[in-house]
Amino acid sequence: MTARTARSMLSALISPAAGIAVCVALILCCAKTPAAALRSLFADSFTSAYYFGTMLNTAAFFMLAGCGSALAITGGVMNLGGEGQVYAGGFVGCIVLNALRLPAPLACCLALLASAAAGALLALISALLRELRGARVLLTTFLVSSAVIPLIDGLITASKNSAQTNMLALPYITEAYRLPHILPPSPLSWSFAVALVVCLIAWAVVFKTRTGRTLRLWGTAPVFATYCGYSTRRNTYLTLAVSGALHALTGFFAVCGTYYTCHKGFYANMGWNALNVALIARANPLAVMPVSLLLSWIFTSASRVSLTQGFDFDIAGIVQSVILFSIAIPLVVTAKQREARR
Amino acid sequence: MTVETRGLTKSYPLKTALDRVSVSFAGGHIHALVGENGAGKSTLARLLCGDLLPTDGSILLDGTSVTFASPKDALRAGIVPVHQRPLLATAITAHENIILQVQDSRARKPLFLHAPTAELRSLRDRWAEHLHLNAFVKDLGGNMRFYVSLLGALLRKPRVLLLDEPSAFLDSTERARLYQNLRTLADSGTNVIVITHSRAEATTCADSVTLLQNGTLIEQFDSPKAYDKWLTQHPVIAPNETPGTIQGGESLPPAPKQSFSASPSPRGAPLTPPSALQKNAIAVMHLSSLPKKRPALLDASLTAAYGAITAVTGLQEAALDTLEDALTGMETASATGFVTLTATDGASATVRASKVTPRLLRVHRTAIVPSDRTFRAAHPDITVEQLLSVYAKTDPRGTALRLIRRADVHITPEQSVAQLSGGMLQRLILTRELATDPALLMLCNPMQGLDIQAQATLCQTLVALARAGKAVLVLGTQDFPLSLCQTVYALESGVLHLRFAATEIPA
Repeated sequence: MTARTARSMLSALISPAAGIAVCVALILCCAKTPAAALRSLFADSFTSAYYFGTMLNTAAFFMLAGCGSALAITGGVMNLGGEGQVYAGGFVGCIVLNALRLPAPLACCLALLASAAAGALLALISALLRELRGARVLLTTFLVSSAVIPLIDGLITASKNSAQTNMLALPYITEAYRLPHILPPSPLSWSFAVALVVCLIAWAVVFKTRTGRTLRLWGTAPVFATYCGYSTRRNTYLTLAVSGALHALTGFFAVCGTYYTCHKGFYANMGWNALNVALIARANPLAVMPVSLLLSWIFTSASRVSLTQGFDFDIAGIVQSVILFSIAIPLVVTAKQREARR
Repeated sequence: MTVETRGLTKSYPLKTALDRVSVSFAGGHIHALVGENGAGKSTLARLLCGDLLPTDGSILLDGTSVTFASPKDALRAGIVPVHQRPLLATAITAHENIILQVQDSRARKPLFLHAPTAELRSLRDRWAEHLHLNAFVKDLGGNMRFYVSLLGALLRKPRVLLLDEPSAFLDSTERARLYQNLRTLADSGTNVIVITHSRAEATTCADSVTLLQNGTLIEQFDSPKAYDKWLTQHPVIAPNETPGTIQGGESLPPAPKQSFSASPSPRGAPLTPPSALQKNAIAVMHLSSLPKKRPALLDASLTAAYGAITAVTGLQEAALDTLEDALTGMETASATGFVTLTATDGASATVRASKVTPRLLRVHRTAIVPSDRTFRAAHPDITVEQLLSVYAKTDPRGTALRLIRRADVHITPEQSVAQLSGGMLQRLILTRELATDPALLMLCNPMQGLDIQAQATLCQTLVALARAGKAVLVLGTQDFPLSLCQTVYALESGVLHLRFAATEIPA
């Protein structure tokens, strides 16, 4: 391992470490029984099948969506619309599964494709706006997502099921279409294995194929890539479509493997956490796996401690903000230093 | 301040870039640092400005040994570099870039709130009167970008000013003015070290000349006369004869050590049949381009025939950059006119100038060597493997290794492009482009940054390519022998004129 790699890995770990530090500090300051809370924070995720499975299940979401974010970053575009894409993917997947009466594998495949297409289409709006109007993908992905979320909220609220059951959700999907839980009573399903495979495939594509080489070149040196005759259009559309589809698949697996319905706001923070994962992993799909596990452990443990210790606030939310800040600050400082050096 | 090196060495796994170099640069003088590409000039400069750490040896300032862990340390000691292609933030103005160079990183004040100081205005008037401080850097040509970096360096009140090929983008008037100002600066006690390929600059403008070759010190001459005398005895490694002048009619320098070409026809091969010579690889009709805040290209019509070298002379102020951007498809939003590309088999395609893209040109077997080698033909953040394998469908590492061997440079595919010297980068880019077996080769300021050996090699390669039936179009002919060209156009005030058209390739 070179010194540069070691430094890079060390700096990548600063953000999760900052999150853990803040979490510990909050527990020490606010918990009724700090010792028990700390024990719960560090140990309970590994001693209880429920908590362990929940952690892995959350990690699966982070991996899938994190890969989507990582691929976008690799290709030189920042997809900030992850939240809306996850939500749209789950919503469309749930509608298709509720509408179909087909053998389970076929129905699930169709729903999965529809779900991925929904996420890809949302992301492609940004690619189209960039091509037609020169709009920045960073802004348009966020704006499209911001528009889609209330739309889906409204559709769920207005659905017949919500009116009948007094629950802000679409109808539950039939049992035949549900991914079985593999570590009861936790919600862990085979989506975890799917997420691992997706990460491996994404890594192979990025580092072992010509498409991946092109993608990396676009991310690092867009002017050089243009000069070499690489197609800007193809890169933007492809990158955003795949990124959007992977975010949407996260929503699909959340519906199909965890909630078995699309309830209002199930996407909460999945997109932002995916971005955290991708940035900490330096957009490397292989590194997305351990980072997802680490962050899911931090978030699920922090949420659990919040509940068990009767906190009035959600520690996980604060930890998430700290991690995002500690990722952003070095990026801003580095950019500033680069400018200054020039 | 006197700068001295003792046994200064910089080694890489495959190469020793600088081998036990001991030199001394006294304050109050202009010192020329000369040598061919790969001689170690840039490495020595980077060591002196803290950009690299030496493997062995020491640097002494006024007799005191110093260690520069970073460029910041060197800046604190008063050593200020000005790079040939300075890294500037293109989205902000020249003035803001100068502030970024000068301000302490802890100083907090939004850039746009700074007003140009009287000192900056005075420096601008003296060194670069045509530089608009409020112009965005993206709209500036190479010469003005150099001045932006130079003014930032001067505002730091350097004790040692290190200039890497300062005249590369300057015309003869600008060069004369630059050296006049450098003389005044040196007279005030500043130590001025200039890396140059130009013999004229070294012999007429410097007080001492330090000659490096293959990473070792050949000799440090106390006077330019001694250097000039030495050159007459060792003509092979002499730098360029005259800077910025058109070298019509002179004979080519001695045979090169290395070849850029993939498989050029040998010199003296039969001429391409006359019928093929008449066929144009590219025909440009009434091309105009009006980019914002850059020189306007008003009317350019030209043809570049297969089997010939076609050249366009001109300066950046005359819209040469604009012409390059339009012809290479890098900036065509405001372009009008038509471009016809004709393949060797006669198939042709005419497109609007605004629709010309690098991709379209590549599809039509066009290789391009742009004037911006650092960010357009390469990028400091990529590896040599990425640089060389951009056109490879499979086996990027194998392709990179093959091209490295062909370019005859001692590097590994894993190395960063940022570590390459200017000459080495130019050689790799040219090798990569030629490896695509182009029908048309567009080169922009191709001699820039090359030593005389490399220039000779390049000229021979281009002649061989033309003899092999390729079309060669040279934009910007600084130091390029026009005697090699069949057709020469001159770009003046945005309008392209035919200067002369020979009937056959010069022998």
